[in-house]
Amino acid sequence: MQGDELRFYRVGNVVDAKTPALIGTGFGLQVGLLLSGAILTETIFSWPGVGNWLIHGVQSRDYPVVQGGILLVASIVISVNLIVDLLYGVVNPRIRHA
Amino acid sequence: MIEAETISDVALGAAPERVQGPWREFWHAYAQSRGALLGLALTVTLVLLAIFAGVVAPHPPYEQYREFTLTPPVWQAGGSGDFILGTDPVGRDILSRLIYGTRLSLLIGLISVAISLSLGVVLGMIAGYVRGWVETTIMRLMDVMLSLPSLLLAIAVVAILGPGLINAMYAIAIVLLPHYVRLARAAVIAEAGREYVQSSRIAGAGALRLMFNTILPNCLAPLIVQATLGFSSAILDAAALGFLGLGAQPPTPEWGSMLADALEFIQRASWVVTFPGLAILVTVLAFNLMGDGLRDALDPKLKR
Repeated sequence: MQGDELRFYRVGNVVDAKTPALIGTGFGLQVGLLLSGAILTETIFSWPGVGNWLIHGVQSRDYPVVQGGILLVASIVISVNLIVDLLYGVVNPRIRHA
Repeated sequence: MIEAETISDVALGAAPERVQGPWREFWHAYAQSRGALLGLALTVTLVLLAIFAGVVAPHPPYEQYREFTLTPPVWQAGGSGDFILGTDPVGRDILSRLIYGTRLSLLIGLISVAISLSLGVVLGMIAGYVRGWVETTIMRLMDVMLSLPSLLLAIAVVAILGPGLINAMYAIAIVLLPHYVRLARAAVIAEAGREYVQSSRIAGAGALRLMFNTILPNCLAPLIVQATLGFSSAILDAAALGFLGLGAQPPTPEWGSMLADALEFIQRASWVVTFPGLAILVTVLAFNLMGDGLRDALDPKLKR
């Protein structure tokens, strides 16, 4: 980029232009991956989290635990995606006023 | 007679430069990318290893050499040339187990992708062609499945069916299903209004013929790409399930369960954990590179 072009780009402009994409891919899609990763991490380090609890539930055929854990994680994923969809409107006026 | 000969001569003379079969054209586009070629080469190697595992592997996968438990790989102090990648806690050769594991992992990928691709295409075609409440039912069901993280859905299915290699395949097939359904439905909706479909319908083609003979061949490209990428996520999920003890069960030389078996030795004998992990990494990378190359080669929007 030459000097003349450079003055049109400020940090704020770039952040404004990229925030919707950052929110969308950063939180909305990754939260599911994050939670599946947590299952593996909790198993490796035997951390007492939802993932570890769920795996023990499956291994000991404790179906209420499995149902509850899956419902919990699914609710988290859905609510995060709902919040992300609402945030799209907050950061992007074109969606808000459509 | 003479005229016919000259015409065919002219046609033959002009042919080699211009006429390119679809395969040649595809190969030309595919070979543009080094990564795609690397992915293809790795995949072919892995497939050959899987097919000829019995010939290539230096030891049987279940044989326990009790005098050689936890032998380091050949390049480390104390390593033995008999066990190139070392042995595991009960003295089984890691290289042989990895080679047999290739067979299992590729089989899991193949079967689960085949199940979910065929089922997904049928469901997606019906949803996109029939529309109305049928479409709503199918697509909302797929949305429910997409709301769960892939590994969690697989765990849920395994919890219902019971742990095991075959059930893990079904679980992964179910996890991969929504992607194919959505792709097939979108492609059908895009194609259904085109002229060639209408002309085929006017010519008297029935619904099944329209769906599978007329529309399906024209929306294969995204499905092929998704199937290749699905292969890698199937292998990854199978390894994760095996690691959690819900997929292949311990004596089986499956990469994920090999990782889980050796986890406690990670500080003392890192090779027991490193090589299965590397095998998963290389395989998933190979299929991802190949899938990306296929997408670049098959997507008309990206064509130069």
